Amino acid sequence: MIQTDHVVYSIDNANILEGISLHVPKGALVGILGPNGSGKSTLLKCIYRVLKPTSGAIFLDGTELSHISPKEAAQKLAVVAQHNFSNFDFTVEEVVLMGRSPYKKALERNTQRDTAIVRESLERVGMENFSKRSFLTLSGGEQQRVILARALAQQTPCLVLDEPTNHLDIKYQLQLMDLIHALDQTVFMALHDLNIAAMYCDKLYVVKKGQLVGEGSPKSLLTPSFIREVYEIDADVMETSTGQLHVLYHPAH
Amino acid sequence: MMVQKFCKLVQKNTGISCVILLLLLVVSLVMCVSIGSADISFLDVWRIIFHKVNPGIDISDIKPGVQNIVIYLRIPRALLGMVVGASLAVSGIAMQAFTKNPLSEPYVLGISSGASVGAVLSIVSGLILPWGTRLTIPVGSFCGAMASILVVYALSRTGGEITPMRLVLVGVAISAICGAMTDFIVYTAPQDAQVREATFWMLGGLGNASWDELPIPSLVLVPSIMVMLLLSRPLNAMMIGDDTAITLGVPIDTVRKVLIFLTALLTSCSVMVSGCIGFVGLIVPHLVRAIVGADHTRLIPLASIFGGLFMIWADVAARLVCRPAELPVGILTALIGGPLFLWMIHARKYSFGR
Repeated sequence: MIQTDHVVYSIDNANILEGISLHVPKGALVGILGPNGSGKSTLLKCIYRVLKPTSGAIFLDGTELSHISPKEAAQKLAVVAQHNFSNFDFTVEEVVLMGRSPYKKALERNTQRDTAIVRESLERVGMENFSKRSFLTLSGGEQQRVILARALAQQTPCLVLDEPTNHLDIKYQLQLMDLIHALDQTVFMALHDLNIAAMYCDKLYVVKKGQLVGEGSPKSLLTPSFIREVYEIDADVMETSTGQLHVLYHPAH
Repeated sequence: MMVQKFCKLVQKNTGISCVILLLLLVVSLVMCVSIGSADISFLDVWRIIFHKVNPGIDISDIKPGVQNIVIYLRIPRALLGMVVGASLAVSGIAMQAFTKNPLSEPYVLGISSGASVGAVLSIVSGLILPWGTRLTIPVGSFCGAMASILVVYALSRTGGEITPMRLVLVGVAISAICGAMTDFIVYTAPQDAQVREATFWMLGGLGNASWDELPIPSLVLVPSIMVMLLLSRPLNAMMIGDDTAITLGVPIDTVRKVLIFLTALLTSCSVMVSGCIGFVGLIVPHLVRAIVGADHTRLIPLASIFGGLFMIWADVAARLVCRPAELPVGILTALIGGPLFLWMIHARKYSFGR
């Protein structure tokens, strides 16, 4: 579904990404991990077209990105990015309605169907009672859920999320991940919490300093030695009787 | 709460609200024509207008002098005020979407003063060039406005993002530089250059309105509003962020270019006929947003009409405040606009930084 082929991204001759090739199969939930500054967000930005790779190619559903119009791309791929800030006072409903704009011609009005999709998307993230509220007055976590609702309203086969659980307390982290896990869309997401990644992802890619350093299922990939190699910390990895993987970190001192 | 109910009502019925505002605008136009240093009755104004449409109507009881005042001074002035007000409101909206900052406005950002440098330069040089000032003034002021926007845009960006603080500071500097350049040209221009007095460019007014000045700004305004309306959805997405806009399928570079072009066009058109009238592009969109929210599908039509309405009444006030002398309307819009804007920053807590 999403495929990158030797993607290089550089600023001022410094390579942020040094040839990343990966593949997110249809219907899978794939995570990308890596320390801060490893290039996760940059890679995602290349995929959702905010950045243009210096070299290499990205394919969405088999088609090279540059051959897809912005509108078509927005009908295939929805994004929950990290920063969503506005000086302007939109209501929650208006923000989610924006998810319908890839399907709209200029001046085309919102239909009953759009309103229904917006309502359903808000229900799925548990924000249906906030639809008339001002987006600006919501907490960071609530805003994040509204942005996810907007991505759902886009009704795309693919979803890209950049650390969606940031700003969320643990209840909403799990709730949000449960929700994402239940989606039948193809999902590619950057995560920073190894436990969350282990709990929900079918497959993981790990990047460090712009290079791919590992890929595989959480169980095969997340070993103490690998965690040590990537994050430079000591950790134990435990498996519970239900097959749940847990990463236990050791203090740094 | 009455106010909230009113806002909800307008939000729900944007179309009807537009029609009501348009009717108000027509009535206001006629009322504004009848008010002035020589008061002319409301009825007489209608009769003079209808006489123009149907010469069969007898208006011989109205003095020819009065008829001339209405037809050659007051009507074009009111119409020009309407067009300039709407242009400034729309260019304000365009700049605010472009910079994602509610404080943006052509006057505040120095785009108006850029246009006036261009206009003044072309008036002075128009004496030398063979094709005269009729064509060079619009071109000159457009180029001036365009240059200002590009400089503001280039200098207020850090790391691909426009910082509000830099934006405003760069605007202040550009205004000061362009203002000084305009003054310099005006003061050193040869006597016969017919450069309007410096105050016209600094504190714009509608005192020079005539039928000749109406066509260009009107012909620019109407398609500009239509283009902005076509862009409503992309503009909404851009308000949340450029990244968001891209992921929602907005061809952002194209939209940006269109916004720059439209702002330069609208600003230069209003500056060349009325000088630098400030704060209209700031106040009108803000007031309308306070009522209907940030959605451009509602904001653009309502703010265009309200901009026209605001301007013609501001001009009436400017004519009445110290009768029989006239104030440039720019003084008034700044006097109304500045404090109102401060109050809105305070009341709505629009964030100034990030």
